[in-house]
Amino acid sequence: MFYQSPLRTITLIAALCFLAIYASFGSYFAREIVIEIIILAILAISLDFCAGFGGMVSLCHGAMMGIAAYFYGMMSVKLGWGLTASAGIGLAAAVIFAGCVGWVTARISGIFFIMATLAFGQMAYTIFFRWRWLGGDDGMGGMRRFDLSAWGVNLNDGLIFTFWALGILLLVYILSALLLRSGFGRSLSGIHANEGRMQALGINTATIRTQAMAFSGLMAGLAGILAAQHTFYISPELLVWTLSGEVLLVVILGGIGTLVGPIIGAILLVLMKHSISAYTDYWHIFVGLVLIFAVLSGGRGIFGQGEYWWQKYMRGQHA
Amino acid sequence: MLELVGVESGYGETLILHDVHLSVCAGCVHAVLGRNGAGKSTMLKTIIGQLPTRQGVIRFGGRDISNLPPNQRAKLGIAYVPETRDIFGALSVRENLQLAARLAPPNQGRNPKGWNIDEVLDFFPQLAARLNHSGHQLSGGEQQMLAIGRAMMMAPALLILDEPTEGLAPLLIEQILQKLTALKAQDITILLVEQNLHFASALADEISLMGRGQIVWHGTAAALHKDTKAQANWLGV
Repeated sequence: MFYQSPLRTITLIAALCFLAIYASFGSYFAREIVIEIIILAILAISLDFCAGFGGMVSLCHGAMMGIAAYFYGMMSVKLGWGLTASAGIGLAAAVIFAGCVGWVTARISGIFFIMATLAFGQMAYTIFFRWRWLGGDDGMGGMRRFDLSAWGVNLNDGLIFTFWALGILLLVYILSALLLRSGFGRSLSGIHANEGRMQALGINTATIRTQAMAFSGLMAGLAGILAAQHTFYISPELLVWTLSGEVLLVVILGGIGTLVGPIIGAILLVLMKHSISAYTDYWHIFVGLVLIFAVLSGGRGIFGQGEYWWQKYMRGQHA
Repeated sequence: MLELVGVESGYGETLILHDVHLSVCAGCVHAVLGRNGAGKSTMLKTIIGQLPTRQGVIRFGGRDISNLPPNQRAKLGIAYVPETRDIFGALSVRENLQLAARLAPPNQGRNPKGWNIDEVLDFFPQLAARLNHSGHQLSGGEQQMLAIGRAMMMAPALLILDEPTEGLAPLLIEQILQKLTALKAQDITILLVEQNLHFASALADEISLMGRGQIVWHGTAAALHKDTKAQANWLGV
């Protein structure tokens, strides 16, 4: 079950403020980094939603994101639809894909679940990799950002687009938190703990799991549309499974099952990547070392470990 | 109310239940006793659908439920309190209770007298002080109370209890006995699996003995007390 503790609220606000300040006072390059962090963080929250709270460790979240991005590109660039409608189609495609994956895999768990999601992700990757009409392995360009000039907002301004993305990240967080606090979240964490018992309580666990994956797909889809609008370009690289693996790494690094942790994990990973890769191509080694440390320290992740120490300290105060 | 006819069931390739016949009448408390490994828990898991029925028929309220998935059997009004209690440690006491209330509104076959949280707390006052504590902070007795309360939130027509006295101190066993006697007075059908003969005979209208995966003896508590041979054969250590 998810609890929005004061520590989590403070950490969330601090992380968002850090990103806002870093983008506002940094260079063009800083804003690019911040948007990269935001997209990864949304994707990581989406994965934490089903992996951390429902025990569904998926390796196809990259595919969910890529499908939304591709459908957005296909509708708006190839078929000339309006941007809002195209985004709606993109999100719907990601939700349908994620829901189908959830429905098919609803009766399996553990390593088999991971392998099944990997297979679904690779299938989607192969389709877009081969689909010449959508550019195949060259990818496709020409995506546009939403036109919010009616509200006096110009998303083509890099800083404004960064704040727009930051708003979506906050929205995704709030939506996830509300849903996890509801009866749905209760059922989901019950399934995570003991699926058989939930069935004996009369709950159709396959339906709950499917819905959780579909909602996760919606959030991953938001990340995909953001990614397409950010670079005006998409490629099958969005769907490749190593990206999904990186998202899982972010979730574990930050703290699985905390919702805030994935944001911290995304900030750390992207900053580490850019600062260390300035010196060496072997930056993955350092990320690996940090990950091993995070896993060995009880698997709580950076934020999870901090929260654990904080709770221990608070208990000591009251005792 | 509940009827098992020639039921076979087991785990993997191992068959545990052979040709089990059992009938639980509406409003009765029916206790099943037997040694460890006799197949009592396997029978309960088969009734709730956690294990598939390989042969035979399970009828509930006249309806064949042998092939229904567990959640649909629960919706028909079968509530199960497992031996392990299975309180969700990550959820608070209140949330554990709310889980079971997510079922569809009572329909035919289900007891309309389902409880709400207040009624659970009236029945088990100890839980009131623990309402916001997480499940893994509860003692064994509290867990048992919560498990029964959670089952009662489902408004069951049939309450199935697997060894509710297991691992509890004698004082707590006495308390649980009182509570179940009070439930019995509310006309709730109870199927109880026990090792504790005293507990079972204090509560049950009918007793079945189980051995080697079959029902081997059936009668009232009084009859069982007289039948020392059956006791020695199927209960003695």
